[in-house]
Amino acid sequence: MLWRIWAPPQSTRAVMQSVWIALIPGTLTSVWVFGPGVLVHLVLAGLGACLAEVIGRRARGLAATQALQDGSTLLTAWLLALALPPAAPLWLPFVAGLIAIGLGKQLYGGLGQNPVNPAMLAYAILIVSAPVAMTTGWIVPFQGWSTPMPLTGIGVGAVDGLTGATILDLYRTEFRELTAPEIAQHPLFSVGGLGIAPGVEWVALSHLLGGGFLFARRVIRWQAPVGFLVGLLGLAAFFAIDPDNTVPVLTHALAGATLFSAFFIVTDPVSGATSPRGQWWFGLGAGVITYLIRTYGLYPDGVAFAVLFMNFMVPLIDQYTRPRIHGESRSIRGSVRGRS
Amino acid sequence: MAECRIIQSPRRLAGGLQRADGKALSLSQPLMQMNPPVLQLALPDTLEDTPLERWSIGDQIEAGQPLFTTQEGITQACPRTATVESVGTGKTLSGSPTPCRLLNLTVVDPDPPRQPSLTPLPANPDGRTLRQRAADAGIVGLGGGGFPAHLKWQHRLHTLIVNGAECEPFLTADEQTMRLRAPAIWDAVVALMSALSLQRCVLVLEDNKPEALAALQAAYPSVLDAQDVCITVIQSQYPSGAERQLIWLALGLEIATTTSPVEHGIVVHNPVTLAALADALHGYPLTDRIVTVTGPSIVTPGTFQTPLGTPIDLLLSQAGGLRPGHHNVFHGGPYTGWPISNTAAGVRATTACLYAAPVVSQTPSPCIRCGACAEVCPVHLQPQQLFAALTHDQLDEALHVGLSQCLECGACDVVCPSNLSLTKTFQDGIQDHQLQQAEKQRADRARTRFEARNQRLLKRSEADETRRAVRRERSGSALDRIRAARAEETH
Ligand code: SF4
Ligand code: SF4
Repeated sequence: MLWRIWAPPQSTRAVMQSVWIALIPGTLTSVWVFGPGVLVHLVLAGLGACLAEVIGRRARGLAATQALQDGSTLLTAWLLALALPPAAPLWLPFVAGLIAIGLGKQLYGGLGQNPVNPAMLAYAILIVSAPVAMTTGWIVPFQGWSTPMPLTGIGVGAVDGLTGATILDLYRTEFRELTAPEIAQHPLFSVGGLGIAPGVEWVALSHLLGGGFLFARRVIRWQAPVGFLVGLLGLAAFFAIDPDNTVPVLTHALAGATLFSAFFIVTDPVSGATSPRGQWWFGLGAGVITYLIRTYGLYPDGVAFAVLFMNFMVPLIDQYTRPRIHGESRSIRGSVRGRS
Repeated sequence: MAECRIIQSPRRLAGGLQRADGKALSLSQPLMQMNPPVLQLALPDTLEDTPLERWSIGDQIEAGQPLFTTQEGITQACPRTATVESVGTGKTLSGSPTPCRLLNLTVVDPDPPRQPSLTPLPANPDGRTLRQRAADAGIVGLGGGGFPAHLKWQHRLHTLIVNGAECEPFLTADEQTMRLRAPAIWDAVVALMSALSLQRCVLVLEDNKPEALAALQAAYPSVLDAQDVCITVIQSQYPSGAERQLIWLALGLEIATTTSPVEHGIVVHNPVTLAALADALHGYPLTDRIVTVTGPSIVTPGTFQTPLGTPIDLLLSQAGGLRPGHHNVFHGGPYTGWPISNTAAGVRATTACLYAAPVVSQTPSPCIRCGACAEVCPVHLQPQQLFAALTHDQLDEALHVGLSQCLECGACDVVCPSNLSLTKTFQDGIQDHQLQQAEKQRADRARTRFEARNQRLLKRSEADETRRAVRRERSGSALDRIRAARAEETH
C-alpha cells in the first residue's frame, strides 16, 4: 500500500487529496496548541465554500452534484481555517469560505481559471474589512481547550486566555521599546514550545512535515517554498544585525504563517507561476514582500498581500521564465501580443 | 575477433518518461512468419495511370515483380506470387473520408520470393548505385516515418546514426531485428559508409536491450575496425528515439526544427530499414516487414514477419485475437499510435506495431497548471501554455511559444492529472497552422497575380494614352489646317 501513497498522484483529485493528507499534521498540532476552535472553523469554512461552489456552478449552468468532485473547494476551506485566528468569531470562517470560492474562484470560471489564490483573496478582503475580528482572535498557546469560543468577537479583552495578538503583532507594538534580552522575558516565551516563537513553532514544524510529504510525492517542487523562505529569511537575517529593533530570524521562520505559506500557499499551482524557474521568482518575490509588510506595513502578517501581489505578476513571470526549447539558441520571452 | 567500442552516453533527456516498457510481452515468443491467403495493397494517390489499366482481373503477378513506382521514385514490389482479385477504391486504415485505391490479390504461392528479382550488387557499390537500388527495392523508413531512404542520401553526409533506441513502450520490431539480423544491419552499415563516404557511424541503443547489444557485438564485422564506429548506450527513456533527441544523446548536437538533420550531414536510419537495405543489396526488394502485435488486449502478443498488404484482421487473429470486451487497435505504439478504424485494410511499410488496449473513458478536468506536462516535455515546451493559447483560439500565441517544435510525442498526455488531450490539441493546432499557411500562400500567389495584372493593365492604358495623345496631336493639327483653309476661303 505504501507505494500508493508515495507514487506521484495520477488525477487532479488525487493531487488535492495528497494536499489534504499533508495538512493533517499541521491541523492536529493546531488543535493541540489552539484548541478545538480550529476544527469548528474548518467545518464552517467548508460549509461556506461548498455553498459558494454550488451556487457558482448553478449560475454557470453546471451540475451542482459534481461540485466537490475534484477536492479543491474543501482544500481552499481547509487552508482558510488554518490561516484564520483560532478564536475568531464563528461567522468569520463561514464568510471567508463564501468569499474565497464565490469571489476567488467561481467568479472566474471555477477550477483552474482563478488568477489569484482564493484563500488569500478572502483573507485579504476580510483583514481590510473586518480587521478586529481578523487580528484579535489569537489564543495563548496551549490554553485553547479552556478558552470559550467567542461568537461575535466583541469583548475579546475580557476573555481569559486570549492574547488578542500574535507574536509578530507584539514585535510591532509592545516590543518596540524593548531590547532583545527584555523581550525574551515576556511571559509568552515561557509558554511551552521551544522558547523561540511561543507555542506556535510546533504548528510550523508540523507544516514542514506536511510540506516534506508533498515534496516527496512530487506534488510540489522545491523552487517556490525555498524562494519564499530565502526572500523572507534572507532579508530577516540581513537586518538581524540590529537585534533590538528587528524580529529575530527564527521568529520570522516559525511564527506567523511562514512555513504554512511556504508549503501550502505559494505552491498553489493554479495561481502561481508555472515553470520551475518562474516558481522560484514567484516564491522569492512573495518572501521579500512578506518581509517588507511585516516590517514596514500596516498588517502584522503580510503573506496574503504578498501572494496576491505576486499572483498578479504571474503572467509576466510566466512569459519571461520559459525554458529554452531544445534546438533553439535562446528561450522565447514575452508574448505575441506584447510584441505587436 | 573484432570488438565494437561501446560508449555510455553522458547525456540524458531532461524530461521524458520512464515507465514500465511492456516489451517482454511480445518478445517472449519467437518471430513468426505470416502466410496470408490474400493481400490488400493501398496504391498511392499520385500514380498517374489508374491501376485498372495496368492489371486485369485474374492476372498473375510474380513475387518481386514491380507493382508501381511513386512520384518519389520508390518502386513497390509484389510481396508474393498472386493473382489480381479486384482493383477498386475502399477505406483506408484510419478510415479517412477520402477513399484510397486498393489492389486486392489472392496469393498463389505463400512463400517469400526465393530468387532475387533484382541483380545482386557487388560489394562496395558507389553512392549512385546504392541510391538507385534503394529506390528500386522500395526502401523507405520502416521505423514509422516512411520517408524514402535514397532521398536522404542526396545530401552531403558525414555521420550515420542507427536508431535502435525504440523508446516507446511495447514496441519490439527494432529490438527483434537487432537480435535476429545483426549481421544484415552491419552489412548495410558497411555499404552505406563506403558508398556515401561517411566518417562515422553511431549505433544507439537503450540500456534495456542487452540481448540486442550482445547480438550486435557478436556480429560486428572486422572491416569496420578501421572506421569510426561505435555503439552508444543511452538510458531507457521515452522519447529518446525521436530524431533530434537521439542526435543530441548520441552526438551532443542540438538541431532546431527549422532545419533537418540531413542538412547537418547526419542521417538517421532505423535497424529494420537497414536490414531491408541489406536484403536489397542481395537483390531482394522490400516485400515483408516485421510487425509487433501487442498490448494488454492481445491474447498472445508476438512479433511477425509480415508480407506488406496482409490484412490487419489476419495478423490480430494470428496473435490469438483480442480478449473479450471493447478494445481499440492502434497503428503504432501506446503513445504515438492512432486508432485503426478499418481492420480489414492491409499492413503498410510503416506498420511497426499494432497495439490493442481496452477502451477507457476518461473525463478531462480543467488544467490546474501543475506543470507536470512541462516537466516531461523532451523539447522543454510549456504544454499548459500551448494548451491555454489553443483553447482560447490564439494560434499565433501558441506558435510564438513553440507549437511547431512539438514532437507530438504524447508524453505530456501521459502525466497530466487532469486527463487533458494535450497532444491531440497540439496536432490540430499544427494542422490549422499548416492550412493557414497554405491558404496564405495561395492568397499571396493570387495577390501577386492580381498585382501583375494591374500592372499590365496600367501599362496598357498608359500606352493607349500616349497613342491617343499622339493621334490627338495629329488630328489636332489636321483640324487646324482645315480651320486655316476655311478661314482663307472666307477671306
Ligand atoms: S499536466 Fe495537465 S493539469 Fe498539469 S499543467 Fe499540464 S495540462 Fe495542466
Ligand atoms: S507532445 Fe509535444 S508538448 Fe507534449 S510532451 Fe511531446 S513534445 Fe512536449
